[in-house]
Parts: sequence; structure tokens; C-alpha cells
Amino acid sequence: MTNETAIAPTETAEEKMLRLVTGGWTFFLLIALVAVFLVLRPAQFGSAYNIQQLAINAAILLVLATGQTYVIITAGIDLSVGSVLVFASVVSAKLMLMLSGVDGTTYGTTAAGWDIIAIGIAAALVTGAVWGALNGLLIALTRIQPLIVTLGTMGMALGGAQILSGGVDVRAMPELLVTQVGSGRFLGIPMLVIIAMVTVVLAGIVLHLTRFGLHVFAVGSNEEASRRSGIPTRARLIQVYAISGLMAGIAAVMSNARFSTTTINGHAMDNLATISAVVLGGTSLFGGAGTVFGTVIGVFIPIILLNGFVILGIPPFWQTVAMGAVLILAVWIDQLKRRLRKRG
Amino acid sequence: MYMYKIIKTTTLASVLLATSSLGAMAQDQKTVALVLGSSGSPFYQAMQCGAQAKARELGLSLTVSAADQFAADAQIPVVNAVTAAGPQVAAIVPTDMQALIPPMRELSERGTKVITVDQTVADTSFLHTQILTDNEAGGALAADQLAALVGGTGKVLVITQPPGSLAQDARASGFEKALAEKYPEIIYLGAQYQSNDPQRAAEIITSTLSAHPDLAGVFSTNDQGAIGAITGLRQAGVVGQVKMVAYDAASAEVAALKNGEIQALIAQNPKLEGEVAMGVAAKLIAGDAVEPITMTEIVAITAEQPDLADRYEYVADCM
Amino acid sequence: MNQPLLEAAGISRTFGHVQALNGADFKVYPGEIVALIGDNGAGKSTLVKILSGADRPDGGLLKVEGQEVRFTSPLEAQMNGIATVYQDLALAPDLTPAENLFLGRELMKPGILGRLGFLNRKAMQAQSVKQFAMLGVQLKSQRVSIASLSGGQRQSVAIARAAMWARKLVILDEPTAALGVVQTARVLELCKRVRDAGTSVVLISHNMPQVLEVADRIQVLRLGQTVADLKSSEASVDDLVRAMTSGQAKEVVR
Repeated sequence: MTNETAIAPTETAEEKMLRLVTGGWTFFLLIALVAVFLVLRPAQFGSAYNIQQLAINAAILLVLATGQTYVIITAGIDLSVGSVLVFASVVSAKLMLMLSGVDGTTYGTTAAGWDIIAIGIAAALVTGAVWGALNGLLIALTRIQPLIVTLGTMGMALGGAQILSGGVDVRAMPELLVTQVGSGRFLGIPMLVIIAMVTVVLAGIVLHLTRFGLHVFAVGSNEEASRRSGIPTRARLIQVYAISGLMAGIAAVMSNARFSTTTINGHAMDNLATISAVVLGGTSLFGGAGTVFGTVIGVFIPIILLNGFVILGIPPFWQTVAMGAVLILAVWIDQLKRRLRKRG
Repeated sequence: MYMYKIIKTTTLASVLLATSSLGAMAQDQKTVALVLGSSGSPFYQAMQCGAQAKARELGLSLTVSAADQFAADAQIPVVNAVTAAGPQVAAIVPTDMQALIPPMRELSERGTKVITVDQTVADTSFLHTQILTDNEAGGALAADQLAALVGGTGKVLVITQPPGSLAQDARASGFEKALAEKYPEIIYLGAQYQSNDPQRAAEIITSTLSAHPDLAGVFSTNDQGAIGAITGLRQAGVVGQVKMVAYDAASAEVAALKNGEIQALIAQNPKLEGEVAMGVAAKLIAGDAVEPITMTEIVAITAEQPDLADRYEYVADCM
Repeated sequence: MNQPLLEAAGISRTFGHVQALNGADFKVYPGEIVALIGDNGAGKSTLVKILSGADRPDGGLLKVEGQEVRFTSPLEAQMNGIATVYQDLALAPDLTPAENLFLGRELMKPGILGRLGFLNRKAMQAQSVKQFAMLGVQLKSQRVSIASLSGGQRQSVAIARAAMWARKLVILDEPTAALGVVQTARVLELCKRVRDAGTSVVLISHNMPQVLEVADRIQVLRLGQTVADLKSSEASVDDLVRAMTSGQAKEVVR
């Protein structure tokens, strides 16, 4: 019996268009938004100042969303990112304050040197990573749903932060941290943006070019198959959530530097914002597929939307309506994509 | 696949580069921006209505914006966007007295005249004026009201927001000082924090009642705390028994006043604050001088004054 | 007479009150396709699990190329050159055929980059193209996720993967159960190619005409025991059915 050629005819033009659209549509949406706002308010929306502010406003969320990308690719979810950020920022701030020998939550800044700041940064990163690893351990070993586990750690981390701080923000940050990192620039680019860019690029390289990254996709695509192929799936899950926590730690340092205070009552919506960003970027909630580049687009869309609406003077409620609609569109298109490929 | 990605990145980069070369901001005539503390709050909606009406009267072009949470990290992007829009005057309700300083200072340095409304910041050097109510006096007024209601003796509790909002801090400290000076018989249980969370306020009340069943009175420094506190009192079945004085006159509070759940309100006049802000803005645009601090009124309203309550109710009649 | 590649003698396995296997025998020689058939409840799945290392027998012994072995895990069976493809295929649907072939055994870039964990996608792609060509597997595209391939093509990827890493024996559990006529034919053709390339194939199936067409030898299980060992060229569907249901059939003398 001869083997018929199993190669299907090449895609029709329509199928190709559909694939292009579903694959890169958010990128085009971003370009379209930018174009519309530029046309309506060129000098205001397109000013160098505004673009820089957009980038700075995106920076912290970008770092958080990068971690969330890893998590969602494993078909998981991390609701605790905002709370872990708050916890790490409190630990870091209190430690630096204690080490500078200043008592209480005085306003203004302290004269702590880079050595103390380094310790503070390390504390934030370790704290974040530990919370993340805790998430990963619970999820990998007890098999409880990530939604539930991270919901729990979200509460614990926020509560822990409030206990540690007495519910009062720590407002005395090292001056060097605030001026050099929070508002500092390097070659004209804000430090916060540089930190975000470096983090995102590194995360992208690891995810798309290394074996670890491939394993992340494999575990998300079919955990059982990965396990049977010898991939240490439990270890990978723990590592992925630890990465998400580490990102929250980095974001905590950035937040302390930017606002010159911990923001215990803020970051409440960060978890949903990161999830929206990741989904908008084309990562599937079912796991196994996604890109860091897509997340970058997903982060910028709501930020540009908010910025453009405020510049245009559109009432605030419309922003949330628009964001909700875009998100539903994103998930619907993800479904379309899945159905498209089943047809093959 | 990778070629596609490179094309995408270069397109985005060139768009950004092209636009950043665009130069000076257009300065429309008489543009004013108002940034509220948060959206969805009756107090700020009333302020918005007052401002919009006055702006129309004065021929000002007003845009109003707000973040959806009363938090610095949510408000700063909004302030940034206002800065990019470059209005002539910006009236801002700062949600954090420290974190909002850098973005507001930048707004001022870029040529916009900045004023604060209702709340303020720790560094006022770049502000043209602060529109305030005397929160400390308001707190003292609340102390007088509550002392009268509980008969000068008994245990009282304060429900407020965590330190960081100058207005709330001032109300609480004004209350405490008045208690210490004028009403030594009253036992002060201290201040409990809730962050604009009625649920939490309710829980604070019920737990306090468990510890102190003879609680005589409660002072809430804002409307969210008051609404939650009433729920807690209702749950414990002590409405009317435990006397409530609350700051602000949101519709829910006015209704509670008429129902006997709250015994006295300390009302501000957010609509007036909005109008005053526009008046100041018009003056600034015209190049006139303004006072560094503009005080607006606070008024104590008791249950026997329902008409007064109606007058001061925070109504967003323009929405 | 050559030595069996894999031999199971007198295997028994009990689960609680149920005796799944009661002295079952099984033999596979190099370079052949053996079919394992039997009615539902005959013990096929249990036997396959034991042969592939996923389960351990309560009694009896296993020999690989004459040496007695005890498999404590599927990994150990794999190290002995035996790979199993279960019905769920154990493929990652979002990954490409090449990535699936190398799942868990990825190729690294040479030198320090490799030690840092950087993948050598080009090498993996090249090798997978070779593997598919050798086995005559033609896929719609080598660059899409396998979820967009047909059921038969996915099955082929799974079999090609097993054949790549297990040079002695590949066990296939109901490989054509969910496939249409044309796809089934291709998978069976693939089995022949795998055998011709030097790896024996054990095929579990319900489909007797299929089995007669592709297998060299057929072993029949009934109620936990091997009741027949027939050469496919000398057997008919009736013989097989009779063996499965009543336990009587012609025996093969080897």
C-alpha cells in the first residue's frame, strides 16, 4: 500500500488573513489606538513628556505581568501579585529604615547609602520569591487549584504587610533610591523603564530560547505528558511561581523608589491588571501558548487607553467599560484561534 | 515568524520616535482640569457638579477625571495625562500627601498653575492656593456634638482612615484634642482604621461592642466609615443607643440621620468647593492674585434639622 | 532459534478480589510485529502496564534479551529500550512535532550556551525531519502545533517519538481506535516501517482484520491467561474469535 501525500493544500488567502489577524490583532489595536489619539491630540498625546510618562507608568505593571505570563502559560494563575508586592515593599522599606538608624515613619527621605539600599533590594527579591515558592509548593504538591491557592496567599501577604506596618505606610525611603532609581535617568531613559526593559528582555529570552522555557510551555500544554517524558513538572511549577513572586519583589523596589512611600492600600487591582494584560497579549488561559512580547502590548493597551481618555476629557467610567470590552474580545479571539487549529 | 516579530517591533518603534519629535503643547484658552480623589464617590460627584456649573458660568473649558481608586498609584497616571494635556490651571484632590508631590510639581514646572482642593500635600511651595475646610475645627465640632449626645460621659470610638490623608488625620486629631481639653469624663477608646471599606467598619463596630458593651458613641471621619458603622450597630441591635456622629453628608448618611441611625452630621460643602475652585482658576487665568489658603464652610447638622440636611446633602444633580 | 527480545512468563496480578492476570505468557522476538488481543477484561491493559514498567507483577518473571529484569518505573523500561504509547498519546498539543519528539530530551546548543540552557532548535528540527522521513511520516507542516494536525498524524508523531528513543521495542495500546479508515491504514503502514527499521512492535487491538493484516504473530489473552499464539499467515478471524471467547485454538510450534 502506498503512502499518499499527507500534506494538505496550502492555506487559502482567507485562512492566512484570519491567522494573521488572530495572531497579531492586539498589536494592530495598539497601533490603531496610538494613531487615533495622535490624530486627535498630537501635541499632547505625542509629546516626549507624555510618552515617557506612559513608559514609566507601564514599567511596574510590565514587570509584574511578565511573571504572570510564565504562570498563565503553565495553565495556572497568580492572584497574589499585588499583595506580595505590598508585603515585599514593606519588608524592604522597614529594613532599610531600621538599618539607617532612623526611627518611626518620618516623612521625607533618609540618607541611607547604596549598601543599605542593596540589602533592601535583596530583601524585597527574596521575600517575593519565597511567597512565590510557597504558592508553587502548595499548587504542585497539594494539587489545589492555583486560583484558590493564590487567593489565599493574596490575603495572607496583604494581611502580613498590614501587621508588619501597623496599617501605616512607611514613608521614609532612602533619598538615593528615590532620586536615582525612582526619578533617575540613564542616557535619557528613566531608570524604571530601563529596569523594566531589562527584566522583560531577560524573561523573554529565558521563556523562548531555553530548555526551562520549553518545559514551562510543555507543562502548561500537557502536564501528564511532560511528567511521563521525564520533565520534573513539580519542580518547574514551583520555579514558575517563584519567578512570579520574584517579579513582584522587583516591582516592590520600583514602587518604593517611584512613590517614595510604601502603598499598602494601593495595588489592589494589580492582579487583574496583569491577567488582562497577559490575556490581551495573546497568551491562552488554558496554558501552553503565549509570548512575552504579547504581554508588553497587553500592558500598554489599557495604559494608553486611560491616558488618551484623560487627555480627551472622556469621563472615567468609559475607560473601565472600554477595557472590559477589549478583554472579552481578547478571550473570544483566543477561542477562535483554538477552533481554527482544530480544523486542521 | 521571527521576521514578522521584527517588523512589528520596528513599526512600533518608528511610530514612537516620530511622535516624540512633536514639539510644544497647544495652549487653548481658559482650559482647566479637575482631578478628583476617586470616581464613584458622592462627595466628589457633588464637587464635580458644582465645578461644572461654575465653569459654564465663567466660560471655562473644564475636563474632569479621576482614577477608580483613592490611591496614589492609581491617581498618578491620571495626573501625568493631565500634565501632557497641558491645561492652564489644574485643580487636584491629592490622594497621598507625599507621593503626589513629584508629579504635581512637574505639572507646575511645565507651566500649569496648580491648586489643591479638599486634601493637600506636604510641600505647598509650588501651589497657588489650597482650598480647604478646617478639618481640625470640624473634628472639634464633632466632639462637641457627640459629648452633648452622650451626656458628657461614657466610652467613645473613632473610625477613620489609616494615617496619610491630611484631612482625615486632622479630623481625628481635632476630635481627640477637644475631648482631652473639654470633656475629661469621656473615655476615649482610640481610633480604628478602615480604608474606605464599609464592611471593615461594620466589623470594627461589632468587635468593639463585644469588648465594650457599654459603648456610648462613635465618630466616623468619613461617609464610608459611617455607613459601615451603622450596619455594625444594626447588627448588634444598638441603633440609637450608641450615638453616631459622622463627617460628610452623603445621601446614605442623610437618610440615616432622618432614620435615627445617625444623630449628627458634620457636613462640608463639596459643591461649594468645586465652585470656589473654578472661581480661583478663572482668577489665575486672568493673572490675578489669590489667597494662599481658601477656607470653605463646615456645618453641624442634628437630627432636628432635616431641611438643613437636605440643603447640604451631597447630591450629584448634574449626573 | 533466536532469543526473545522480551519475554514474560507466568505473570499474575491481583487487584483486591479481582485476579487480572493468572499465569499469562508473552514473547516478542526481534524484528517482528506481535499483536496482543483479547476481549474486554482479558487482562490486556494490565499486561501492557507490566511490560512497560508502569506496574509490577505479583508473580512470574520478565526477561529482556534473556536477562531477568524487574522494572520499578516506566523510565527503567525505557532505559532497557522499551517505550509505550498509550491511547492518550502523551503529547503536548501546543508544541511542534520536533518539540514533542524531543520532549524531556531536548538538544542543547554547544559550549557554554548549552550549559546555560539554550536550546538548539535547528538541530532538533533537522533530526526530527530525518526521523519522520525515515519512517515515511508526512505531516501537514513541521512548524505548527500538533493540535492542528489530524488524529492520524498525531498518532504518527507519538509512534515516531517512541521509536526514536526505544530502539528495541515499541508497545502501542489501541493506536487506531479513534482513527478513520485512511488514517488507520497510514498508522499500520508506519508500524511496518518501524519494524523494518529494526524495532519490534507490540500492538494491542480490538480490530481483528487489522491485526491479521499487519502483525506477524498474534497472541490471545483470555481471563488473564495466554490461550493462543498464532502465526497471522495461518490464522483467520474465526480462529481468533474462537480463541478469545472459548480459549481453544491451534497452537504454533516455534
